[in-house]
Amino acid sequence: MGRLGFIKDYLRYGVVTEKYPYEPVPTPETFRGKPVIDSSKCLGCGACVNACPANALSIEDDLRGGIRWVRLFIGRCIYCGRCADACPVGAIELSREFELSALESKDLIQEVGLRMVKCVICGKPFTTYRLVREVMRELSPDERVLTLVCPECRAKLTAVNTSFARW
Amino acid sequence: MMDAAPLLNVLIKYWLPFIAINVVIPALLAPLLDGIERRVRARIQCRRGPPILQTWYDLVKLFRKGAVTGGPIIFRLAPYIAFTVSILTLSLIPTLLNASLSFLGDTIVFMYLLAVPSVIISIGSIYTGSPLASVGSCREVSLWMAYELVFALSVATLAIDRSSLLLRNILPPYPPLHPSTILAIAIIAFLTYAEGGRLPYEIPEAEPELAGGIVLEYGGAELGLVKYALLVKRITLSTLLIDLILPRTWLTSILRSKMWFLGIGQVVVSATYISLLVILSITYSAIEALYGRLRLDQALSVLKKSVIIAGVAVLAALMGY
Amino acid sequence: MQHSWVTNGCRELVDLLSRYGSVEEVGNAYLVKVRAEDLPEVANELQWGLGGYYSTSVGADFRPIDGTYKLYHIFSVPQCSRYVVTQASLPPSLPKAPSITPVIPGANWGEREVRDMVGIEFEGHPEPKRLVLPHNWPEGIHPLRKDFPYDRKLIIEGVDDEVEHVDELARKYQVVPIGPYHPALHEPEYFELYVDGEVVVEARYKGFMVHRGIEKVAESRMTLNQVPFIAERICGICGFTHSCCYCQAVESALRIEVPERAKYVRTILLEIERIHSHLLWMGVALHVLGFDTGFMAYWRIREPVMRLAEELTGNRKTYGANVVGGVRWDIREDHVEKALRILRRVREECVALTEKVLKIKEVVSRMKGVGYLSREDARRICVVGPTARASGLDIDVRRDHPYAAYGELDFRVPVRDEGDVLARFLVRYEEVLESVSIVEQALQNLPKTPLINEDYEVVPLRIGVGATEAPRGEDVHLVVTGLGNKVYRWRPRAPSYNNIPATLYMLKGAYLADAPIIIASIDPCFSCTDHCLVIDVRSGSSRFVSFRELVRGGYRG
Repeated sequence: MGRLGFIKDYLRYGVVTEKYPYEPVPTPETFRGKPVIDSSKCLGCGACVNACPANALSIEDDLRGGIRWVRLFIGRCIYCGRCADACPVGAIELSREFELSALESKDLIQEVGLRMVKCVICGKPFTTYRLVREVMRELSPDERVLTLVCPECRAKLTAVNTSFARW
Repeated sequence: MMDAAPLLNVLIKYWLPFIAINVVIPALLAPLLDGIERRVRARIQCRRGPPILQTWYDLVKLFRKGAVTGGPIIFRLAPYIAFTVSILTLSLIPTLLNASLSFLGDTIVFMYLLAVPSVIISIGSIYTGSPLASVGSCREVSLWMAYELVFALSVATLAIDRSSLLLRNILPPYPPLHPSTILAIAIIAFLTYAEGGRLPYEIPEAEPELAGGIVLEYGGAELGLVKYALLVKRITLSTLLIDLILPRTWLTSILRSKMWFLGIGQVVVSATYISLLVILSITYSAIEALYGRLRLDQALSVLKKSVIIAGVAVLAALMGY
Repeated sequence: MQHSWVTNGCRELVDLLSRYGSVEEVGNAYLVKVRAEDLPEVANELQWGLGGYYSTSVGADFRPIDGTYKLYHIFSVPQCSRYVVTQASLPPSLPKAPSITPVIPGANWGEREVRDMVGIEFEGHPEPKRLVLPHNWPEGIHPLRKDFPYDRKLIIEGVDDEVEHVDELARKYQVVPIGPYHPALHEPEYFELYVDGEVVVEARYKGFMVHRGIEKVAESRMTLNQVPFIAERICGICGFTHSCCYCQAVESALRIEVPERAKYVRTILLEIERIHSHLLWMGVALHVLGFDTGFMAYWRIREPVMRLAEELTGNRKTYGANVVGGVRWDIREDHVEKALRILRRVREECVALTEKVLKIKEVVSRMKGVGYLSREDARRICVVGPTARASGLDIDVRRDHPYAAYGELDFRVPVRDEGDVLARFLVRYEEVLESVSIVEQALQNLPKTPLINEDYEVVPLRIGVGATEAPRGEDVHLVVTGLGNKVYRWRPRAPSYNNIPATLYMLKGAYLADAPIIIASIDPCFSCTDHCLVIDVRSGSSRFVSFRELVRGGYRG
């Protein structure tokens, strides 16, 4: 009879459920869990912020203190990994953690604070030291000084330079 | 035929231990049996299942909420009536002890009381006006009428065969054992399974269809009482089946004559009763795990056939078989 | 159904369409610009004259671009593997078009949603009631218009609570509500059943309770490559097919060539999704019938498939694999071995289990002859997927409009003509076996090419149609690319959208006890269907509350 086959199945397979949460459950190595920002590598470039579909990553510039805050709020994260794809230096990677509940929402925030560089012309902080150092590596010595000029001042300089003939 | 006066004396002297052992203990056991059934069903489904005490935990949780159900007074009272009557029914049938309240016509009273919990809950549910509860209630009434007819015919078979309406006389030992008796017991075995609300006959509650149907509108302590009443009904039905098969009085007297302990016979019979209860629960649960739910019209058609078989049993008993 | 011109197929189709307007070939579709007045005639020709299948209707607010509203109707013409998109431009002063519902009853919901969301009126529509928006939503405010902000909460003043429409039916018969919260349903929706004893006399449906504003969000703030991730979250089971469908629509619009390996990976993941979705459904159907042991057994078999998906993509269900132009995850050699082993076992166990289940009389008797949908009704309502194939309609997007790698793989499309719940069960069962075979073929023939083609230009305002065979049926996405790497209009039409109206036909005359299994038999995915926005309506003074205020908890309401 078809029915008794189910008892046979039980005798063959036994109990198939796991005792989670009383015993841990393994995740495969490819598992996409909580993203973790490595604060020693982060440049503050914002590529991850642009890529994130869920607006979980954000950048806030504290102009008075001169610090750029890169913030990851796990509450909005969808664990897609686009931030890891976008990061030029591999500072953000998806770990295998998935038990992420917290009692306070501030425990769901990862923050990296990066010191900002002041524009040599107008004095406004506009980028981070790390990013400037990274960019300088690709440039020749005389181009490097331009990296210390903020975009508005650079635009003004370019306008000035092009309206006068070069020597 | 026992004289009423000495019986009453005995009862008045021993009423407290009788109730404690024969009524209260089985009532306390009923949720444990349900726990066993849930665990067995879970294992057959290849999962662990809740601990055996789980049904007790669930009932305690509900009772702790207090009386929360509102609505018409019949609806609110029904759980209390159902629970009380179901406990009362246990006193009419031997459970752990071979003793029970016994008087002329107690068989009929027993059947009556057995039916009261379902009926009163059905009536209460209709008063709520909730459509799902009403449908559950109608289903329960249809099924109940079918069950009672088959039940009455089977018990009638036994009564006719033994020429007595005293429950004591209908119970084993059966010298001589007639085919009509065997047939009647077989039918009652099917009824004790089905009337306990087990699949494929779990129709009035039918959670995926009616969201709980007949018990839908209850909450808190009232829900606990309704569930408890149904659990006590189950243990009563299982007890009836066991009592129809287990020759208590014969066993007790044999053991007493072979052993010098005056009480050992009863203890062994009590232990056998409990073991049979557990075995029956495990068996019923294993069967239930292998079945889906029938639709009301399908269930009624099965019961119609049972009526015919029960009718045959009655005829056989009348003819002396 | 006329198949007489299969060989000349496309030529005759183009000729027919040219009679009504200019025809442009867009990927796998013909875009034909017609006049609004001709719509019923065109619809009639395509659906009944040619034997095509109506898919859905889309409305779009093009006023910022060229000052018109656009109305699209999408048809599938399997005979020449093409979709036909009719585009009618409507002036904003008079956004009206003749309804095609009298010609094709299946267009009922599509047109009502266009009316709710964009505000185009349909003359001659037999049931011009609100479909998506709540009944007390004010007139004249249409969420998918471009002047409606996506990040503000709309407060409407002075509206009454739901008015009970007590008609003669409710007076004569008992009303049994299934929903919005009911154990038989996995998402909130509302089936109102009018019963006489245990028999259902009439059924009404009210849904769209889980609108989430997906189309609006995508059109407002998402880039082209962010949309696949929200598309994946339209459904809790069949997310990957939505993201594939979207990507295909964009790839069709921008003429992007997807590398071969990416097509194969998409195929493999799509079929894995189909396997787990069908096994889930078979378990749920048994649960609704009261047979929990069978339910547990199917889900036990399904579990290794979920773990396989987790190992291949990093997540059991949201694979996150698609980007426009290809896929992000590759399938490694060692994974191929493992997958083949797991699928072999799934096939064996599924066959053994289904044989056991089909021998269980009370389960089969509650599926046989229950929930009958005739072939004619199925065609008129335009149902799709296993629901259609169980009623004798031989349609399957994988074979009719080959996408991903299906054109190169060998598979059968199971079709039955009993039209009852048992037929749908058996169609899905056979599809599981076919899917296993497809994945095996694909895994053993993975071509060695790159995974993503990023060499494309985003041209604004190009239209594209993507279509996939989701586990529940034909999934169609219409995309109009936007300015600056964004999406101007995106309409995902999930298969359940076309299938849910069929339940109302099936429920009439059925036993009440059979209602849950009938509703479950179309494998409804209400999350898929309700993916647009519902905004809370409160009585109070009318003002806009900014999203920031809401997020910071400033709004106490």
